[in-house]
Amino acid sequence: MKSPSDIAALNRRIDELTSLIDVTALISSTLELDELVHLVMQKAQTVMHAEASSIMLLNKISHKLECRFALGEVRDRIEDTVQLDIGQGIAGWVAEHAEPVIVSDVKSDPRFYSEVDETTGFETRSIIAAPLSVKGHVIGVAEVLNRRDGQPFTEDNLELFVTFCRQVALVIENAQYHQFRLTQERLQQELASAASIQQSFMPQRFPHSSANRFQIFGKNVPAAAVGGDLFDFIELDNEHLAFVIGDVAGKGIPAALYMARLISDLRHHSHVQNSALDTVKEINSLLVERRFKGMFVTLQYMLLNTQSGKLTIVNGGHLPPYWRHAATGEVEWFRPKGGIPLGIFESAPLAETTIKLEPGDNIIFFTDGVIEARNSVGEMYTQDRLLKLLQNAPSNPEMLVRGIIRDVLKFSLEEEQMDDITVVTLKWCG
Amino acid sequence: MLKVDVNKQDDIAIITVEGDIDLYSSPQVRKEIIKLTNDETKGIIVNLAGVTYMDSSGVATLVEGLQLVNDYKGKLFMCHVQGVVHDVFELSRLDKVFSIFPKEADAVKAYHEAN
Repeated sequence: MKSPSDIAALNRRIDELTSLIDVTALISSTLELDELVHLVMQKAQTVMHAEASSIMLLNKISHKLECRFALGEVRDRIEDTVQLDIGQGIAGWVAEHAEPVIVSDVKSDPRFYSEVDETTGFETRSIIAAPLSVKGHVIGVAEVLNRRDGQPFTEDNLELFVTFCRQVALVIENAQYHQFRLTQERLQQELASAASIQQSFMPQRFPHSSANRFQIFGKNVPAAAVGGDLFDFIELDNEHLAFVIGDVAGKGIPAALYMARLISDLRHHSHVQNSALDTVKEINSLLVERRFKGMFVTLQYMLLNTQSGKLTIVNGGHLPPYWRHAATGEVEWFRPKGGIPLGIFESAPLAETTIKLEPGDNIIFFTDGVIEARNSVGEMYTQDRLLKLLQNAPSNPEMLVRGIIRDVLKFSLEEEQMDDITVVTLKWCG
Repeated sequence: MLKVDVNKQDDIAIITVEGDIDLYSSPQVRKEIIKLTNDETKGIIVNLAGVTYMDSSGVATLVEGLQLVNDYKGKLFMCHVQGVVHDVFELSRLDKVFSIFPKEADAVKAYHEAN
């Protein structure tokens, strides 16, 4: 025969276990994190006959415990305002030692941090605090305060509360992971938008010579991440066509923004400066003036006299082009007078080189994404492959450019494209 | 995994880098360079003996270091620039921008001679 007190204890235990089952059911529901933690803490508070409860989460950047959830009469004065250092107060002690604790009389415990009570007006008498741990790391601390019957908390209460805290930690971990995935998805969407905005800066139509003096074509294949390749055509007057190919150091949004501004500067200064060299010098000064995290651009600026076939090249540290001579069939790696990439030094040595194209000649400009494309065994496409391809390629710029890109993509087949691929080709028809 | 070690002796700091320097790992190198340039460390030597690949964000990190060092008239030298990394510097003519030495001792000697 059980005594009435035994029966009461058994009933209490059944209540506690039932509340744990309720909590497990709650966790598998699809409620929002705040709502879920609120309900779980309410259960904990009720079953332990406590006056108040709170959850503090560890801020990974500031390394402080911040009160995220609170229940009880002073909830508004605690939530999102109370902050503790690790080791400060009872919650700070629990976070530091990763151990639960019962404090029956806070006033006689030197760890107690009374300032929170002084600020909120709440009088804490006793506490159970337990760490919220995920895979051995403390992510926060949960507390229940003051038993309603005025009695101290018991070891049974502590055991139950620790079990509750395991569930709460699980909920928070799941929610944080969910949040992380959402943020990742959003970032990916933003990158995709940036990539399509960036593509819109590239020429969609190409300069056309009504007298068929020249043909020109360019194409950019962006890498998965937003890259920094650019090309552009700027028709200056009936006799002059400027065009440009470049590669901004770095990837992502900063490179895209740098590139967008650079294209706009190039278009403007091509019209106002007197020569190709002056234009590039001015662009260099502008980039040095607003330098940011060492970003720079390798850039090749060309000015074609569309009547004479004279081509002036100013090279700012970009890969030299190939010049295919129609008369001999020779493909020459043509190295114009060199300058360093733009945006590094104001006093960058820059020079211009002028060549005279002969009828049928092609000149092929490209970025490092072409020759550095890798295949599944890590080999690079290399300049040798490009050179071989150019020896037998058609002279029509569009066919030639598309042929190079097709060959590079075929070479790297299933490998993720790490860098933008850009090719611009001119044919002087004479 | 990129490993970055900094060894400071008097007014020279040697940054020894091991691994690939790319978009994801270059911030680690940048952090060390920024610490040193914030302290206006007069001589910074970047030893790339353990670096077999560097993309343009890695190069930008070194360019930033060079620009910052120039602001306070310090020196940033590089040594053991080899293989593909050497090609990157040569093709973009950045070998004309940086002072590049074969060995660490050569870079240290050049720093002392310049001061």
